[in-house]
Amino acid sequence: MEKLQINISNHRDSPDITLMVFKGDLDAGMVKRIEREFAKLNALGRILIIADFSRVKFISSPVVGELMGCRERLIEKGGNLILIKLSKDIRQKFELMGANQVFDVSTDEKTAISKLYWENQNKPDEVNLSFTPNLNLVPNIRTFISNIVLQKGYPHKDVFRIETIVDEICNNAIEHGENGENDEIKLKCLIDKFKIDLRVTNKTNDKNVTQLQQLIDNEDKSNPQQDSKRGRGIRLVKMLSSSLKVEISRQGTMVQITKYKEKETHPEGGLNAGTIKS
Amino acid sequence: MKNSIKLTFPGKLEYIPAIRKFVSGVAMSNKFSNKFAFRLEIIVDEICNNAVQHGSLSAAAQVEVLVNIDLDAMNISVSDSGGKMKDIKRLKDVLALTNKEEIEGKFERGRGMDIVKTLSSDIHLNVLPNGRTEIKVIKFRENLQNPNGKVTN
Repeated sequence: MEKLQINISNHRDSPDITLMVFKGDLDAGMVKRIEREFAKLNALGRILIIADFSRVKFISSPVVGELMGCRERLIEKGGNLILIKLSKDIRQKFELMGANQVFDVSTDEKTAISKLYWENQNKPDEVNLSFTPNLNLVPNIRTFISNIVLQKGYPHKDVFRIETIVDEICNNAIEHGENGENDEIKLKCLIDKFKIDLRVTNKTNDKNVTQLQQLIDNEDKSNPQQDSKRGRGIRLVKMLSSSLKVEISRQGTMVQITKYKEKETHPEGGLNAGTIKS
Repeated sequence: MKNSIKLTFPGKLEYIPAIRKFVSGVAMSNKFSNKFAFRLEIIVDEICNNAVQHGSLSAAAQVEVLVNIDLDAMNISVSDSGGKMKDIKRLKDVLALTNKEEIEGKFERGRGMDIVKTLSSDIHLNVLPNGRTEIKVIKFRENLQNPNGKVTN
């Protein structure tokens, strides 16, 4: 049996994450030592941990049990333990024990870090798009954003509503903004487990500034007497969003929307249950 | 009107299906054929996979995709934060080879880029001054001969 070594360090690119590299055999005699190492980390508030098993050939059942306990204690504090680079033999052992149903396992550090940030830190992913103001592009853009949202596990109802929102705000930006060949529209999307933030910015068409401001003001005052056909888009976006903010000036127009994920009453069977649309 | 799009996304494989569908959708909206759009989708899939797997080594890495649509061609550029020197060199070597057997013999993992070479009108690899690695591809509309004499299919 190869003597166990445990190398513990802060991850070089993500120092809030601890990397534990195990080398050697994890036999039953190592349980206490593993418990001590995790307890030390827990006491220091180091609760996001990646355990690298690339140099481990053998793991005993008591050690697997101990790791499950350590993971539970991390989760109680809002952290997690992700295992990476398990050999084929160890993966098979995990399957036999049912441990693969308990642990998060990744192939590499980068994937494990992304999982920890997404699940435990609620760190959003950022997607940015800038494009020439051409109505032709809007269907592709709205489908693109909705495919991302679907991939991230949002329910279909939210996906369609977000697609509708993107369609409206992009159309508005093109129709009411400057749309010369050198102009561009920017769409920033921040998505996390609970919500999506969308921000569209464009150069304002001088002739439309007053008109646009009136539309927003009328909408704020819920004044149905005004030209109701022209305000329907904004009204629709307001109805579908959790919040809407519009800033109009001669320098530019910015529309910012937040949409919280709605809780599914009839779950469709886990994450990523949808199919990417063309 | 000439269309151009710039897109940045996290260096994660899960984004690639949506990215490739987006680019092929843009091609079809601009009256390129279904065949063209599908082949473009394959190109985008390969070079984005490369960018994510070899060029986005940290969790914070972002991949940038530029799409320029002309009347008769689409220009795609994908850049990443720059991977290991050995991977960049291997990519350069694959792109320089013209013999299929040589590519398969020398580079077990070179088939993806060989596919991109076959489907594109032209392809270039650049290491940018900011350290990013960029792959630029141009694909002409079907049955057009590009300046290099290669007929696109």
